[in-house]
Amino acid sequence: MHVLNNKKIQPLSLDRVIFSTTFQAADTSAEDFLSKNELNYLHTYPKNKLLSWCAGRRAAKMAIAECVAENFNLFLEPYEIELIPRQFQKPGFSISSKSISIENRGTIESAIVFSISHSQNTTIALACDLNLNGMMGIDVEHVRSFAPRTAEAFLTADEFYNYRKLPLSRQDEQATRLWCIKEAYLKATGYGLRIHPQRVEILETEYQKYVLKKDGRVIQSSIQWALQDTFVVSCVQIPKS
Amino acid sequence: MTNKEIQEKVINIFSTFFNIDRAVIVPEAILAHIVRDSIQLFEVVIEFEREFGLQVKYDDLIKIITVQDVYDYITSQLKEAKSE
Repeated sequence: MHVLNNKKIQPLSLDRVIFSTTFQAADTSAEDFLSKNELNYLHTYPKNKLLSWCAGRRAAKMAIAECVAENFNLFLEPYEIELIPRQFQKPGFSISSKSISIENRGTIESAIVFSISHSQNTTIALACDLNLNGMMGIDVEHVRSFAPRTAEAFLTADEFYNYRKLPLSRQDEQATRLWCIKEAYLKATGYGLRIHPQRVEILETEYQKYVLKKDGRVIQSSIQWALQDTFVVSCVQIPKS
Repeated sequence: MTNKEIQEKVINIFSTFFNIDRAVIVPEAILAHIVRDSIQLFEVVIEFEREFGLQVKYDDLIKIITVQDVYDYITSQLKEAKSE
């Protein structure tokens, strides 16, 4: 099955964080990057989401493999990495490579964190060393319009006030960006949508400088975002305390 | 509200939001296979709250895997609301 074309980009400048992006054009065979279990699962997956599922796996595995090479000087084939999804929680991975000792596999599996995001035909993933970079989450969203009640439901009162003050032409991008940053934070922490997005507040203190609050409390974090074509990509980093 | 009415409303919401055939929305269908992204999931949750007059507990979302889980969750929340 031919599914993907891989293209790397560095939309955000973060030291020692590996980004990988895949687009759903043809060139790579699924056998090149899926583990045996994943190949078996592939046949049970709904066809309409198959490409995006494969794109996510490929992007994440490329990022993880590169991160492992950089941090541990060990080289993995993408099919030697198996991603372990957990609904609304941080996903994990396991390594099947026989050339790496079981002890080392365990060390790597607990040291490297990754995050995947999809929007339309674009998938982006990041991987980093938890000890060096802390917790990280990434999100990509196609700039879209929100029904007023949706925007009001996920934005805090202050965010919604500032959003409504913007000219109409800028509101979609602003709401998409705020969703994207909140989602990246929820992924970094592993909360996912288990907590209401309104419990997270993003305030721009000066141009492109943000403060992130959860339940009204400032969270030490680094927020980056970029507008690429019609996509917003955001990344939230929470340093290890 | 009967179970059949709940199921009918849930199927209507899913088919409208995700623009999918009603026949796909079977009880054993996995939500992650139906929902395109988290924004859509959030929008659907808001719609359920509006349609059924519920306040969804976001912590509960982790237990909802299939369409049947959605039926069960709404049924139990409606029962809970009625008994209060």
